[in-house]
Amino acid sequence: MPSLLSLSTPFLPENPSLEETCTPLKNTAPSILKTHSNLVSLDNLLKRSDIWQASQQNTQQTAQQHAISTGYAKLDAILHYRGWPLNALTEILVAQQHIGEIALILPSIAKKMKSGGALYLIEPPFNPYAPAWLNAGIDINQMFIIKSCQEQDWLWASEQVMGNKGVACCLFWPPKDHLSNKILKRLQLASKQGSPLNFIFRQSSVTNQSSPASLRLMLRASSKLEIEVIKQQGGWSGQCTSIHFSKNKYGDEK
Amino acid sequence: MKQALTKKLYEKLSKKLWLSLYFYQLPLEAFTLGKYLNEDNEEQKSPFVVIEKSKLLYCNQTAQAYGLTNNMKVATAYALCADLKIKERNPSLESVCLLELANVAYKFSSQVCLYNNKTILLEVSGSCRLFSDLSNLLKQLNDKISLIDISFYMAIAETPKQSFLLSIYNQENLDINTQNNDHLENNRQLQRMPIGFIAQDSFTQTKKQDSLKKIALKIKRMGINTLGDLFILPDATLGRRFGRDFLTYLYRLKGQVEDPLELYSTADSFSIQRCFLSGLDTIEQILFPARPMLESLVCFLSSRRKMASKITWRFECFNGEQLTIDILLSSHVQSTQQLMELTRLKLQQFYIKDKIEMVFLEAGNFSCKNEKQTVLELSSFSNVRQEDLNDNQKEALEHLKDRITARLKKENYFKLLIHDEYLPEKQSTLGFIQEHKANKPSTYSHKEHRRDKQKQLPLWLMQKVERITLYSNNQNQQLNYKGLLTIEPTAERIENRWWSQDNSTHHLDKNSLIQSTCRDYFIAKNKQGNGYWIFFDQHQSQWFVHGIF
Repeated sequence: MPSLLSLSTPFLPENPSLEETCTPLKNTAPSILKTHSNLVSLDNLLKRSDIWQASQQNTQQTAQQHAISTGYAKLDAILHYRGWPLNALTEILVAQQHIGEIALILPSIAKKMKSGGALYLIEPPFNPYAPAWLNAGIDINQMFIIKSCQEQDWLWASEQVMGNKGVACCLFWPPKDHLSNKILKRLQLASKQGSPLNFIFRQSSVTNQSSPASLRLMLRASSKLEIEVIKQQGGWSGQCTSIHFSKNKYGDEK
Repeated sequence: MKQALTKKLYEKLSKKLWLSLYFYQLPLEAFTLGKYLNEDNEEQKSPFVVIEKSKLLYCNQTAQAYGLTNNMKVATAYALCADLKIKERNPSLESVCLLELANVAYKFSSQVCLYNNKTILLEVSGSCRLFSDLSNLLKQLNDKISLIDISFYMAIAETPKQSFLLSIYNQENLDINTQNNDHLENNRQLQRMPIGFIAQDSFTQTKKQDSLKKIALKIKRMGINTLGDLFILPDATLGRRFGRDFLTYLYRLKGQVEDPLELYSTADSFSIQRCFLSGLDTIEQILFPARPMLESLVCFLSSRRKMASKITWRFECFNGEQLTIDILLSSHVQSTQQLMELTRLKLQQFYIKDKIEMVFLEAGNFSCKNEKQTVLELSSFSNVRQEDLNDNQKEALEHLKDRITARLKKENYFKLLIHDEYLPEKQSTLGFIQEHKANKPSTYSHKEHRRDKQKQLPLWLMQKVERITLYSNNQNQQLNYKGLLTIEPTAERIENRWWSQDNSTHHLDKNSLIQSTCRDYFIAKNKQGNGYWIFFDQHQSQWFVHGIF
């Protein structure tokens, strides 16, 4: 995609200097503009993943860069990047635990772990049952559990794990309902540089609390698992879908 | 023929170059090692002496300024300086310091020798080529030793004994000898050397100096004052008068026969200690000397291409209390920065009650750096390839494990283990990561895995099974656990000790002390959509919840 700068130059009267063309931008982003002899490279700016562009088509290539398929076609369809966002924090809100929230993410974890990396469970509600995780395709030798810590320790551990490149996935059940925006922001920032898949499981009572997480999903149980998108980066929210888990298998039945 | 052989041997020997490092203040500086780097250090300014048999043996510069001298009585020293700090000579501390210095020297030569309790010899002819030239090698060696902050004299000669004698003789004009390594100049110095200097040497590394001391005295009484005078005397005469050992000593000194030195071998453990006369009482104060100590360890490991699986910090307080901290390491790259971070994380868990006088750093059980960790047996089940992770990611993961182990308590960090057992609670357990760092092959078999793959199993297992109550509705009874449960048409019986003849409930086998069990497992769901793994205990006739889907 050509930069805005190169497009605008031919239309300028009497070929003004590049600096003049940048004037409107200069007020908004002076620190960026001062680099490289006051030349602005919009191409570089647009390459940044945190700049949302309405014109950008969500192609298969961009989807692969930003996300990993959930393993459920129905869920992929309502997510902006057609899967769980990579290097980002995903918040899963549940009215009550154990309604299938782990089954929902297991296919993607197994897929991610096949290319290496560890799985960390931080403050899980119960002890994982090894044969079940093994059946789901998880290498249990790369599975580590941190539990029964003091608050400062589980916060420290979650940030360390989410910020580590050697970790494939981190699942975090904060022992207390209320987490400040500052804590969530720290986890989101850590996720950007470290572990590709990071999930935090919280009670649905905090739905109205603002969160810097890239994706927020609300799960409800009925005969099927109802999923509602509360927030997603780069896309619209409010989409709903439902998933029915097949027996002995996670992901879509084929 | 014999002459020709001797000449050949002499030529071979003369190709060698021995560098002697003589740490003349070691008994004093062993107590203050590595602390003067901080210019504001109070200890540098305070008068300090080392005593032996109630007499002053070594005085630092401040103590000397007060008029204290060697061999002065302690009472007199106190009369001259009331603030004097006194320590009894500590030979074990000196030997640890010498080992630390030998480790530094080992980076410059593979042939290092602890010559006596104050001297290290190293053969540098090969290393000169490695470090481009001798002056460059000496500069780098000097820089390394300066970090430890210890005074030393050095000399270079073609035989170990020559270099040792020159290092204690040429205390004033070192540069001439070391920088030029002039063979003729070395000989001239040796010729001029007073006979009394050999009294500080010994026949061999292990023998005591006493015999050579007595011989030196005898020679002096004969009117022979320098080594040059001694060298012109016939060998046969010297042999008859002072014995064969002394003659061999002279041959070794002159390089006519090889000196069989016991070389310092790659130690299988590392130990270093620092003494703090004023004491340390905060974590930051401890971390300040911890860095150079860890640098020494990293230098030790890198020169041997080894990695440590554990390092131990030991802190000794003035009141004699000891605090020991173990740091487990799994990371292949062991840098000072990483070890410092782990030390800081570990130290933050402790409260320092009393001032710390001594800090020890120990490491052992080294493994080769190239050794690959045992690949886990279970990877064949899950088709997971950890090899796909690049080195940086692997290293990051290993370092993360080390950091979590250092920061969290043992009972907070686990690894999931699977065993070849019938009962679910015994089949899947959590093991302390500190005890399962070394990957042990699992007892879980392929056959077992194939059998489990057919089943629908819960992701979570309760630590303790919970009783299910029965809800009576008219004539029907329903299971009730956080709501009424509906059982799905799947069932599995798990029974252990079924081969035992006795079918009594809660039978306890006297030989193996294993409780017999007979459980029928079912999957049940409540109205909220929660799936539970429940079982009916045949012995107790009771329903329990065991797992959650």
